[in-house]
Amino acid sequence: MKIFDHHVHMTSRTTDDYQGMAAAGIVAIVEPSFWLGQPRTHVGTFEDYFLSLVGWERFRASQFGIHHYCTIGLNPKEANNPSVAAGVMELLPIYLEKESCVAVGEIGFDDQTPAETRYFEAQLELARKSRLPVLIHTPHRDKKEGVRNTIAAVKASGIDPAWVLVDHNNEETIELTLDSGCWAGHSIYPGTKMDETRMVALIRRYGTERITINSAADWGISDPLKVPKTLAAMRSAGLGEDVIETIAWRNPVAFFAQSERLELLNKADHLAIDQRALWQGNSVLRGQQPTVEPRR
Amino acid sequence: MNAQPLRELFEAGISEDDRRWLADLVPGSGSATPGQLRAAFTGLGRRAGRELLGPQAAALAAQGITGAARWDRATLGRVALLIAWLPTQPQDRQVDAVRELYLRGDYREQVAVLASLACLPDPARFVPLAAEASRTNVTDVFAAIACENAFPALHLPDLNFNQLVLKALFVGLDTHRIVGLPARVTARLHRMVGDFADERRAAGRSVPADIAYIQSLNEGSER
Ligand SMILES: [Zn+2]
Repeated sequence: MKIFDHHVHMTSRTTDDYQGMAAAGIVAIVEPSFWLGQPRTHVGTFEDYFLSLVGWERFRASQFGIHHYCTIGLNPKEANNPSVAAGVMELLPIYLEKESCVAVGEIGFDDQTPAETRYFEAQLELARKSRLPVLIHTPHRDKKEGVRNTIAAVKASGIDPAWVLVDHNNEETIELTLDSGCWAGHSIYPGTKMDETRMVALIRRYGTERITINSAADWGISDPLKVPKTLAAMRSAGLGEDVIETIAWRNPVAFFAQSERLELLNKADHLAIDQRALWQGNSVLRGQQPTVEPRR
Repeated sequence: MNAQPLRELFEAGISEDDRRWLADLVPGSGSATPGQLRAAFTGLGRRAGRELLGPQAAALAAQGITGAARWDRATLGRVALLIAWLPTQPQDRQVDAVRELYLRGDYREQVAVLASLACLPDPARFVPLAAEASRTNVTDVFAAIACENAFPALHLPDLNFNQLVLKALFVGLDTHRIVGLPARVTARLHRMVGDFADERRAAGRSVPADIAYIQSLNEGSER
Protein backbone atom coordinates (compact mmCIF):
# COMPACT_ATOMS: atom_id res chain seq x y z
CA MET A 1 0.00 0.00 0.00
CA LYS A 2 1.21 3.47 -0.92
CA ILE A 3 1.29 5.96 1.93
CA PHE A 4 1.42 9.76 1.84
CA ASP A 5 2.40 11.51 5.10
CA HIS A 6 1.31 15.05 4.41
CA HIS A 7 2.87 16.70 7.47
CA VAL A 8 6.35 15.73 8.57
CA HIS A 9 9.39 17.91 9.34
CA MET A 10 12.15 15.80 7.82
CA THR A 11 14.82 18.47 8.24
CA SER A 12 14.83 17.39 11.91
CA ARG A 13 15.00 13.64 11.17
CA THR A 14 17.73 11.16 10.36
CA THR A 15 18.40 8.84 7.45
CA ASP A 16 17.25 5.95 9.69
CA ASP A 17 13.85 7.62 9.69
CA TYR A 18 13.85 7.88 5.90
CA GLN A 19 14.81 4.22 5.66
CA GLY A 20 12.06 3.15 8.05
CA MET A 21 9.48 5.30 6.30
CA ALA A 22 10.34 3.89 2.88
CA ALA A 23 10.23 0.34 4.27
CA ALA A 24 6.79 1.04 5.76
CA GLY A 25 5.43 2.11 2.38
CA ILE A 26 5.66 5.90 2.57
CA VAL A 27 6.33 7.13 -0.97
CA ALA A 28 5.40 10.79 -0.69
CA ILE A 29 5.62 13.43 2.01
CA VAL A 30 4.86 17.08 2.52
CA GLU A 31 7.20 19.03 4.75
CA PRO A 32 5.55 22.22 5.98
CA SER A 33 7.83 25.08 6.83
CA PHE A 34 7.54 25.75 10.53
CA TRP A 35 9.50 27.03 13.44
CA LEU A 36 12.73 25.33 14.34
CA GLY A 37 12.36 25.16 18.12
CA GLN A 38 14.11 28.43 18.80
CA PRO A 39 13.49 31.87 17.37
CA ARG A 40 15.39 32.91 14.27
CA THR A 41 17.16 36.24 14.41
CA HIS A 42 17.53 36.94 10.68
CA VAL A 43 15.30 36.85 7.64
CA GLY A 44 18.24 35.24 5.84
CA THR A 45 18.02 32.10 7.96
CA PHE A 46 14.38 31.76 6.88
CA GLU A 47 15.43 32.01 3.27
CA ASP A 48 18.09 29.33 3.69
CA TYR A 49 15.49 27.14 5.41
CA PHE A 50 13.08 27.57 2.48
CA LEU A 51 15.94 26.77 0.11
CA SER A 52 16.75 23.58 1.98
CA LEU A 53 13.08 22.56 1.73
CA VAL A 54 13.12 22.89 -2.06
CA GLY A 55 16.71 21.68 -2.40
CA TRP A 56 18.77 19.54 -0.08
CA GLU A 57 15.89 17.95 1.84
CA ARG A 58 14.11 17.09 -1.37
CA PHE A 59 17.29 15.45 -2.61
CA ARG A 60 17.78 13.54 0.65
CA ALA A 61 14.25 12.16 0.43
CA SER A 62 14.71 11.15 -3.20
CA GLN A 63 17.60 8.91 -2.21
CA PHE A 64 15.19 6.79 -0.23
CA GLY A 65 12.66 6.70 -3.04
CA ILE A 66 10.40 9.28 -1.39
CA HIS A 67 8.81 12.22 -3.23
CA HIS A 68 9.33 15.35 -1.15
CA TYR A 69 6.99 18.32 -1.39
CA CYS A 70 6.82 21.31 0.92
CA THR A 71 4.59 24.13 2.05
CA ILE A 72 5.98 27.62 2.49
CA GLY A 73 4.78 30.24 4.94
CA LEU A 74 5.43 32.42 7.96
CA ASN A 75 4.61 30.26 10.99
CA PRO A 76 2.33 31.72 13.67
CA LYS A 77 4.95 31.75 16.45
CA GLU A 78 7.38 33.87 14.48
CA ALA A 79 4.62 36.07 13.12
CA ASN A 80 5.00 37.64 16.57
CA ASN A 81 8.63 38.55 15.92
CA PRO A 82 8.68 41.99 14.26
CA SER A 83 12.38 41.74 13.42
CA VAL A 84 11.74 38.94 10.92
CA ALA A 85 8.00 38.77 10.10
CA ALA A 86 7.76 41.52 7.49
CA GLY A 87 10.95 40.40 5.76
CA VAL A 88 9.72 36.81 5.52
CA MET A 89 6.46 38.02 3.96
CA GLU A 90 8.51 39.64 1.20
CA LEU A 91 10.20 36.31 0.45
CA LEU A 92 6.98 34.33 0.20
CA PRO A 93 5.80 35.16 -3.35
CA ILE A 94 9.00 33.80 -4.90
CA TYR A 95 9.17 30.65 -2.77
CA LEU A 96 5.48 29.89 -3.30
CA GLU A 97 6.34 29.71 -7.01
CA LYS A 98 8.81 26.82 -6.50
CA GLU A 99 7.54 23.73 -8.26
CA SER A 100 7.72 21.46 -5.19
CA CYS A 101 5.73 23.90 -3.04
CA VAL A 102 2.20 22.48 -2.88
CA ALA A 103 0.53 24.82 -0.36
CA VAL A 104 0.88 27.89 1.80
CA GLY A 105 1.66 26.68 5.31
CA GLU A 106 1.77 25.96 8.02
CA ILE A 107 0.09 29.17 9.03
CA GLY A 108 -2.61 30.01 11.55
CA PHE A 109 -2.73 30.74 15.26
CA ASP A 110 -0.45 29.98 18.18
CA ASP A 111 -1.10 32.50 21.00
CA GLN A 112 -3.90 34.11 18.94
CA THR A 113 -2.38 37.58 19.01
CA PRO A 114 -3.25 40.54 16.76
CA ALA A 115 0.04 40.06 14.88
CA GLU A 116 -0.82 36.42 14.20
CA THR A 117 -4.22 37.44 12.90
CA ARG A 118 -2.73 40.04 10.59
CA TYR A 119 -0.14 37.69 9.04
CA PHE A 120 -2.60 34.80 8.85
CA GLU A 121 -5.01 36.95 6.85
CA ALA A 122 -2.26 38.28 4.61
CA GLN A 123 -1.12 34.73 3.83
CA LEU A 124 -4.65 33.52 3.09
CA GLU A 125 -4.75 36.32 0.55
CA LEU A 126 -1.40 35.20 -0.90
CA ALA A 127 -2.73 31.66 -1.23
CA ARG A 128 -5.76 32.92 -3.11
CA LYS A 129 -3.57 34.92 -5.48
CA SER A 130 -1.12 32.06 -6.05
CA ARG A 131 -3.94 29.52 -6.47
CA LEU A 132 -2.45 27.30 -3.77
CA PRO A 133 -4.13 25.22 -1.06
CA VAL A 134 -3.55 26.16 2.58
CA LEU A 135 -2.25 24.00 5.44
CA ILE A 136 -3.30 25.42 8.79
CA HIS A 137 -1.72 24.75 12.16
CA THR A 138 -4.13 24.95 15.12
CA PRO A 139 -2.94 25.93 18.59
CA HIS A 140 -2.33 23.59 21.51
CA ARG A 141 -3.65 26.10 24.05
CA ASP A 142 -7.25 27.29 23.88
CA LYS A 143 -7.61 24.99 20.90
CA LYS A 144 -11.34 25.02 20.35
CA GLU A 145 -11.44 28.81 20.27
CA GLY A 146 -8.41 28.74 17.99
CA VAL A 147 -10.21 26.48 15.52
CA ARG A 148 -13.27 28.75 15.62
CA ASN A 149 -11.13 31.79 14.90
CA THR A 150 -9.31 29.90 12.16
CA ILE A 151 -12.54 29.02 10.41
CA ALA A 152 -13.80 32.59 10.74
CA ALA A 153 -10.62 33.87 9.07
CA VAL A 154 -10.95 31.32 6.26
CA LYS A 155 -14.58 32.32 5.67
CA ALA A 156 -13.68 36.02 5.66
CA SER A 157 -10.88 35.46 3.16
CA GLY A 158 -13.21 34.16 0.48
CA ILE A 159 -11.07 31.06 -0.12
CA ASP A 160 -12.98 27.93 -1.04
CA PRO A 161 -12.84 25.82 2.17
CA ALA A 162 -12.15 22.76 0.02
CA TRP A 163 -8.70 24.31 -0.53
CA VAL A 164 -8.01 24.52 3.19
CA LEU A 165 -6.78 21.77 5.51
CA VAL A 166 -7.13 22.56 9.19
CA ASP A 167 -4.62 20.35 10.98
CA HIS A 168 -4.07 18.89 14.46
CA ASN A 169 -7.77 18.23 15.12
CA ASN A 170 -9.11 16.21 18.04
CA GLU A 171 -12.49 14.97 19.30
CA GLU A 172 -13.39 18.50 20.37
CA THR A 173 -12.68 20.22 17.06
CA ILE A 174 -13.35 17.74 14.24
CA GLU A 175 -17.03 18.66 13.87
CA LEU A 176 -16.28 22.39 13.72
CA THR A 177 -13.72 21.75 11.00
CA LEU A 178 -15.81 19.36 8.93
CA ASP A 179 -18.91 21.56 9.17
CA SER A 180 -16.92 24.49 7.78
CA GLY A 181 -16.19 22.58 4.56
CA CYS A 182 -12.46 22.49 5.29
CA TRP A 183 -10.43 19.29 5.39
CA ALA A 184 -9.70 17.93 8.86
CA GLY A 185 -6.13 16.76 9.48
CA HIS A 186 -5.13 14.70 12.51
CA SER A 187 -1.57 14.49 13.79
CA ILE A 188 -0.86 11.15 15.41
CA TYR A 189 1.71 12.18 17.94
CA PRO A 190 2.99 10.38 21.03
CA GLY A 191 1.55 11.85 24.22
CA THR A 192 -0.34 14.83 22.78
CA LYS A 193 -2.62 15.69 19.87
CA MET A 194 -4.11 12.33 18.78
CA ASP A 195 -3.29 8.61 19.07
CA GLU A 196 -3.96 5.55 16.91
CA THR A 197 -6.89 4.13 18.88
CA ARG A 198 -8.69 7.45 19.17
CA MET A 199 -8.15 8.00 15.45
CA VAL A 200 -9.76 4.66 14.61
CA ALA A 201 -12.77 5.72 16.69
CA LEU A 202 -12.99 9.07 14.87
CA ILE A 203 -12.96 7.37 11.47
CA ARG A 204 -15.67 4.93 12.60
CA ARG A 205 -17.77 7.87 13.67
CA TYR A 206 -17.10 10.42 10.92
CA GLY A 207 -16.09 8.29 7.93
CA THR A 208 -13.30 9.32 5.56
CA GLU A 209 -14.63 12.33 3.68
CA ARG A 210 -12.14 15.25 3.97
CA ILE A 211 -10.33 13.44 6.80
CA THR A 212 -6.56 12.97 6.79
CA ILE A 213 -3.87 11.76 9.15
CA ASN A 214 -0.19 12.63 9.46
CA SER A 215 2.72 12.16 11.85
CA ALA A 216 3.68 15.83 12.27
CA ALA A 217 7.04 14.36 13.30
CA ASP A 218 9.59 17.06 14.09
CA TRP A 219 12.44 17.78 16.51
CA GLY A 220 10.32 16.83 19.54
CA ILE A 221 9.43 13.36 20.80
CA SER A 222 7.49 12.23 17.76
CA ASP A 223 7.34 9.29 15.38
CA PRO A 224 7.55 9.47 11.58
CA LEU A 225 5.98 5.99 11.36
CA LYS A 226 2.71 7.07 12.99
CA VAL A 227 0.80 7.04 9.71
CA PRO A 228 1.60 3.37 8.89
CA LYS A 229 1.02 2.50 12.55
CA THR A 230 -2.41 4.11 12.49
CA LEU A 231 -3.27 2.30 9.25
CA ALA A 232 -2.28 -0.97 10.95
CA ALA A 233 -4.54 -0.08 13.89
CA MET A 234 -7.37 0.58 11.44
CA ARG A 235 -6.79 -2.81 9.86
CA SER A 236 -6.77 -4.70 13.17
CA ALA A 237 -9.95 -2.88 14.17
CA GLY A 238 -11.57 -4.37 11.09
CA LEU A 239 -11.86 -1.26 8.91
CA GLY A 240 -11.98 -2.11 5.19
CA GLU A 241 -9.07 -1.81 2.78
CA ASP A 242 -10.95 0.83 0.82
CA VAL A 243 -11.24 3.01 3.92
CA ILE A 244 -7.57 2.45 4.71
CA GLU A 245 -6.45 3.36 1.21
CA THR A 246 -8.55 6.51 1.22
CA ILE A 247 -6.87 7.67 4.42
CA ALA A 248 -3.39 6.51 3.43
CA TRP A 249 -3.34 7.90 -0.07
CA ARG A 250 -6.41 9.14 -1.89
CA ASN A 251 -7.36 11.92 0.52
CA PRO A 252 -4.00 13.65 0.91
CA VAL A 253 -3.36 13.27 -2.83
CA ALA A 254 -6.76 14.79 -3.65
CA PHE A 255 -6.15 17.74 -1.36
CA PHE A 256 -2.63 18.63 -2.50
CA ALA A 257 -3.30 17.81 -6.16
CA GLN A 258 -5.35 21.03 -6.20
CA SER A 259 -1.98 22.80 -6.44
CA GLU A 260 -1.48 21.09 -9.84
CA ARG A 261 2.07 20.40 -8.72
CA LEU A 262 1.82 16.72 -7.72
CA GLU A 263 2.35 15.57 -11.29
CA LEU A 264 5.08 13.07 -10.39
CA LEU A 265 2.72 10.91 -8.42
CA ASN A 266 0.95 9.74 -11.54
CA LYS A 267 4.09 8.73 -13.37
CA ALA A 268 6.18 6.90 -10.84
CA ASP A 269 5.09 5.96 -7.37
CA HIS A 270 8.54 5.31 -6.22
CA LEU A 271 11.53 7.25 -7.43
CA ALA A 272 14.17 4.85 -8.58
CA ILE A 273 16.60 4.69 -5.73
CA ASP A 274 20.14 5.16 -6.86
CA GLN A 275 22.40 5.79 -3.96
CA ARG A 276 25.48 5.21 -6.07
CA ALA A 277 25.00 8.82 -7.00
CA LEU A 278 26.78 9.88 -3.86
CA TRP A 279 30.29 10.34 -2.79
CA GLN A 280 32.36 10.08 0.33
CA GLY A 281 32.94 12.99 2.65
CA ASN A 282 29.82 14.86 3.62
CA SER A 283 27.29 12.78 1.74
CA VAL A 284 24.38 10.84 3.16
CA LEU A 285 26.13 7.53 2.54
CA ARG A 286 29.37 7.09 4.41
CA GLY A 287 31.09 4.06 3.04
CA GLN A 288 28.32 1.49 3.41
CA GLN A 289 26.98 -0.53 0.50
CA PRO A 290 24.60 1.53 -1.60
CA THR A 291 21.11 0.32 -2.38
CA VAL A 292 20.48 0.31 -6.10
CA GLU A 293 17.10 -0.29 -7.64
CA PRO A 294 16.45 -0.40 -11.35
CA ARG A 295 14.83 2.78 -12.61
CA ARG A 296 11.19 2.23 -13.47
CA MET B 1 25.30 33.79 -28.16
CA ASN B 2 22.02 34.53 -29.92
CA ALA B 3 19.13 33.44 -27.73
CA GLN B 4 16.52 33.65 -30.47
CA PRO B 5 16.58 30.01 -31.67
CA LEU B 6 16.43 28.82 -28.05
CA ARG B 7 13.50 31.03 -27.27
CA GLU B 8 11.63 30.05 -30.44
CA LEU B 9 12.11 26.36 -29.76
CA PHE B 10 10.88 26.91 -26.22
CA GLU B 11 7.87 29.04 -27.04
CA ALA B 12 6.71 26.57 -29.68
CA GLY B 13 6.17 24.05 -26.89
CA ILE B 14 4.17 26.04 -24.33
CA SER B 15 0.53 27.09 -24.10
CA GLU B 16 -0.79 30.46 -25.25
CA ASP B 17 -1.54 31.22 -21.57
CA ASP B 18 2.01 30.57 -20.49
CA ARG B 19 3.40 32.56 -23.41
CA ARG B 20 1.35 35.52 -22.23
CA TRP B 21 2.49 34.98 -18.62
CA LEU B 22 6.09 35.05 -19.80
CA ALA B 23 5.60 38.13 -21.96
CA ASP B 24 3.97 40.00 -19.05
CA LEU B 25 6.74 39.09 -16.67
CA VAL B 26 9.66 39.57 -19.03
CA PRO B 27 8.34 42.09 -21.59
CA GLY B 28 11.20 42.25 -24.23
CA SER B 29 14.06 40.71 -22.38
CA GLY B 30 15.64 44.16 -22.10
CA SER B 31 13.29 45.66 -19.60
CA ALA B 32 13.06 42.90 -17.00
CA THR B 33 14.33 43.69 -13.52
CA PRO B 34 16.33 41.04 -11.64
CA GLY B 35 13.20 40.38 -9.58
CA GLN B 36 11.04 39.82 -12.65
CA LEU B 37 13.67 37.59 -14.20
CA ARG B 38 13.87 35.56 -11.02
CA ALA B 39 10.10 35.12 -10.88
CA ALA B 40 9.99 33.97 -14.50
CA PHE B 41 12.98 31.67 -13.99
CA THR B 42 11.32 29.99 -11.01
CA GLY B 43 7.82 29.90 -12.48
CA LEU B 44 8.98 28.08 -15.60
CA GLY B 45 9.51 24.99 -13.43
CA ARG B 46 5.87 24.09 -13.28
CA ARG B 47 4.75 25.77 -16.49
CA ALA B 48 7.18 24.04 -18.83
CA GLY B 49 7.15 20.26 -18.75
CA ARG B 50 9.78 17.75 -17.86
CA GLU B 51 10.03 16.08 -21.27
CA LEU B 52 13.57 15.98 -22.55
CA LEU B 53 14.37 17.79 -25.77
CA GLY B 54 16.01 14.75 -27.34
CA PRO B 55 16.31 15.09 -31.14
CA GLN B 56 14.82 18.61 -31.03
CA ALA B 57 18.16 19.68 -29.62
CA ALA B 58 19.92 19.02 -32.93
CA ALA B 59 19.28 22.60 -34.05
CA LEU B 60 21.01 23.85 -30.91
CA ALA B 61 23.95 21.49 -31.28
CA ALA B 62 24.54 23.08 -34.71
CA GLN B 63 25.02 26.38 -32.82
CA GLY B 64 27.57 24.84 -30.50
CA ILE B 65 25.27 24.32 -27.52
CA THR B 66 26.33 20.99 -26.03
CA GLY B 67 24.19 18.60 -24.07
CA ALA B 68 20.80 20.11 -24.87
CA ALA B 69 19.38 16.69 -25.76
CA ARG B 70 19.29 15.98 -22.02
CA TRP B 71 17.65 19.28 -21.11
CA ASP B 72 14.00 19.29 -20.23
CA ARG B 73 11.70 22.02 -21.49
CA ALA B 74 12.01 24.12 -18.32
CA THR B 75 15.80 24.08 -18.65
CA LEU B 76 15.53 25.19 -22.27
CA GLY B 77 13.26 28.08 -21.30
CA ARG B 78 15.49 29.11 -18.44
CA VAL B 79 18.67 29.02 -20.52
CA ALA B 80 16.96 31.06 -23.23
CA LEU B 81 15.81 33.65 -20.71
CA LEU B 82 19.16 33.98 -19.03
CA ILE B 83 21.14 34.28 -22.27
CA ALA B 84 18.80 36.99 -23.55
CA TRP B 85 18.55 38.89 -20.30
CA LEU B 86 22.07 38.97 -18.91
CA PRO B 87 23.60 41.33 -21.52
CA THR B 88 20.88 43.89 -20.67
CA GLN B 89 22.23 44.22 -17.15
CA PRO B 90 25.05 46.56 -16.09
CA GLN B 91 28.38 44.86 -16.74
CA ASP B 92 29.48 44.99 -13.10
CA ARG B 93 26.25 43.37 -11.88
CA GLN B 94 26.25 40.38 -14.21
CA VAL B 95 28.37 37.90 -12.24
CA ASP B 96 26.41 38.52 -9.05
CA ALA B 97 23.11 38.27 -10.88
CA VAL B 98 23.94 34.80 -12.17
CA ARG B 99 25.20 33.67 -8.80
CA GLU B 100 21.99 34.92 -7.13
CA LEU B 101 19.88 32.90 -9.54
CA TYR B 102 21.99 29.85 -8.77
CA LEU B 103 21.99 30.21 -4.99
CA ARG B 104 18.27 30.93 -4.74
CA GLY B 105 17.18 28.26 -7.16
CA ASP B 106 15.80 24.84 -6.40
CA TYR B 107 17.93 22.17 -7.92
CA ARG B 108 16.34 22.21 -11.34
CA GLU B 109 16.89 25.97 -11.49
CA GLN B 110 20.52 25.40 -10.52
CA VAL B 111 20.86 22.85 -13.30
CA ALA B 112 19.65 25.46 -15.80
CA VAL B 113 22.06 28.13 -14.58
CA LEU B 114 24.97 25.71 -14.97
CA ALA B 115 23.80 24.58 -18.39
CA SER B 116 23.86 28.18 -19.59
CA LEU B 117 27.32 29.15 -18.29
CA ALA B 118 29.30 28.30 -21.42
CA CYS B 119 26.83 30.30 -23.55
CA LEU B 120 27.01 33.51 -21.52
CA PRO B 121 29.19 36.43 -22.65
CA ASP B 122 32.74 36.39 -21.27
CA PRO B 123 32.22 33.01 -19.60
CA ALA B 124 35.55 32.90 -17.76
CA ARG B 125 34.13 35.24 -15.10
CA PHE B 126 31.86 32.42 -13.95
CA VAL B 127 34.75 30.16 -12.89
CA PRO B 128 34.12 30.71 -9.15
CA LEU B 129 30.47 29.75 -9.57
CA ALA B 130 31.34 26.65 -11.60
CA ALA B 131 33.92 25.64 -8.99
CA GLU B 132 31.35 26.14 -6.26
CA ALA B 133 28.80 24.06 -8.16
CA SER B 134 31.36 21.29 -8.58
CA ARG B 135 31.33 20.89 -4.81
CA THR B 136 27.57 20.29 -4.54
CA ASN B 137 26.30 17.02 -3.12
CA VAL B 138 23.09 17.08 -5.11
CA THR B 139 23.65 14.58 -7.90
CA ASP B 140 21.65 16.30 -10.63
CA VAL B 141 23.35 19.62 -9.98
CA PHE B 142 26.81 18.06 -10.06
CA ALA B 143 25.97 16.25 -13.30
CA ALA B 144 24.84 19.55 -14.80
CA ILE B 145 28.30 21.07 -14.44
CA ALA B 146 30.31 17.88 -14.99
CA CYS B 147 28.51 16.25 -17.90
CA GLU B 148 27.77 17.39 -21.44
CA ASN B 149 28.87 20.85 -20.37
CA ALA B 150 31.64 22.57 -22.30
CA PHE B 151 32.43 24.96 -19.45
CA PRO B 152 34.75 22.96 -17.16
CA ALA B 153 37.27 21.87 -19.79
CA LEU B 154 37.29 25.31 -21.40
CA HIS B 155 37.57 27.44 -18.28
CA LEU B 156 38.25 25.64 -15.00
CA PRO B 157 41.83 25.81 -13.69
CA ASP B 158 43.59 22.44 -13.22
CA LEU B 159 42.88 22.22 -9.51
CA ASN B 160 39.11 22.59 -9.94
CA PHE B 161 38.99 20.50 -13.08
CA ASN B 162 40.88 17.62 -11.45
CA GLN B 163 38.58 17.74 -8.43
CA LEU B 164 35.60 17.60 -10.74
CA VAL B 165 36.96 14.51 -12.51
CA LEU B 166 37.72 12.79 -9.20
CA LYS B 167 34.27 13.59 -7.91
CA ALA B 168 32.69 12.19 -11.07
CA LEU B 169 34.60 8.95 -10.40
CA PHE B 170 33.40 8.86 -6.78
CA VAL B 171 29.81 9.41 -7.81
CA GLY B 172 30.00 6.81 -10.53
CA LEU B 173 29.23 9.21 -13.38
CA ASP B 174 30.45 8.06 -16.76
CA THR B 175 33.57 10.20 -17.27
CA HIS B 176 33.15 9.95 -21.04
CA ARG B 177 30.41 12.51 -20.43
CA ILE B 178 32.96 15.13 -19.30
CA VAL B 179 33.30 17.27 -22.40
CA GLY B 180 36.92 17.86 -23.42
CA LEU B 181 38.43 15.58 -20.78
CA PRO B 182 41.11 14.04 -23.05
CA ALA B 183 42.69 17.44 -23.69
CA ARG B 184 42.84 18.22 -19.96
CA VAL B 185 44.63 15.08 -18.76
CA THR B 186 47.86 15.91 -16.93
CA ALA B 187 50.50 14.00 -14.97
CA ARG B 188 48.87 15.25 -11.81
CA LEU B 189 45.43 13.97 -12.81
CA HIS B 190 46.97 10.59 -13.68
CA ARG B 191 48.59 10.49 -10.26
CA MET B 192 45.34 11.45 -8.47
CA VAL B 193 43.36 8.84 -10.34
CA GLY B 194 46.04 6.22 -9.66
CA ASP B 195 46.00 7.01 -5.93
CA PHE B 196 42.25 6.67 -5.91
CA ALA B 197 42.51 3.24 -7.53
CA ASP B 198 45.08 2.20 -4.88
CA GLU B 199 42.76 3.38 -2.12
CA ARG B 200 39.92 1.31 -3.51
CA ARG B 201 42.09 -1.80 -3.81
CA ALA B 202 43.46 -1.36 -0.28
CA ALA B 203 39.90 -1.18 1.02
CA GLY B 204 38.99 -4.34 -0.85
CA ARG B 205 36.63 -2.52 -3.17
CA SER B 206 36.15 -2.63 -6.89
CA VAL B 207 38.00 -0.09 -9.02
CA PRO B 208 35.76 1.96 -11.34
CA ALA B 209 36.35 1.00 -14.98
CA ASP B 210 36.66 4.67 -15.91
CA ILE B 211 40.00 4.84 -14.10
CA ALA B 212 41.56 2.69 -16.82
CA TYR B 213 39.97 4.97 -19.41
CA ILE B 214 41.52 8.09 -17.88
CA GLN B 215 44.87 6.39 -17.45
CA SER B 216 44.80 5.41 -21.11
CA LEU B 217 44.58 9.07 -22.17
CA ASN B 218 47.82 10.85 -22.99
CA GLU B 219 48.99 13.69 -20.83
CA GLY B 220 48.71 17.18 -22.21
CA SER B 221 50.57 20.08 -20.69
CA GLU B 222 49.73 21.42 -17.25
CA ARG B 223 48.08 24.84 -17.18
ZN1 LIG C 1 4.12 20.98 11.89
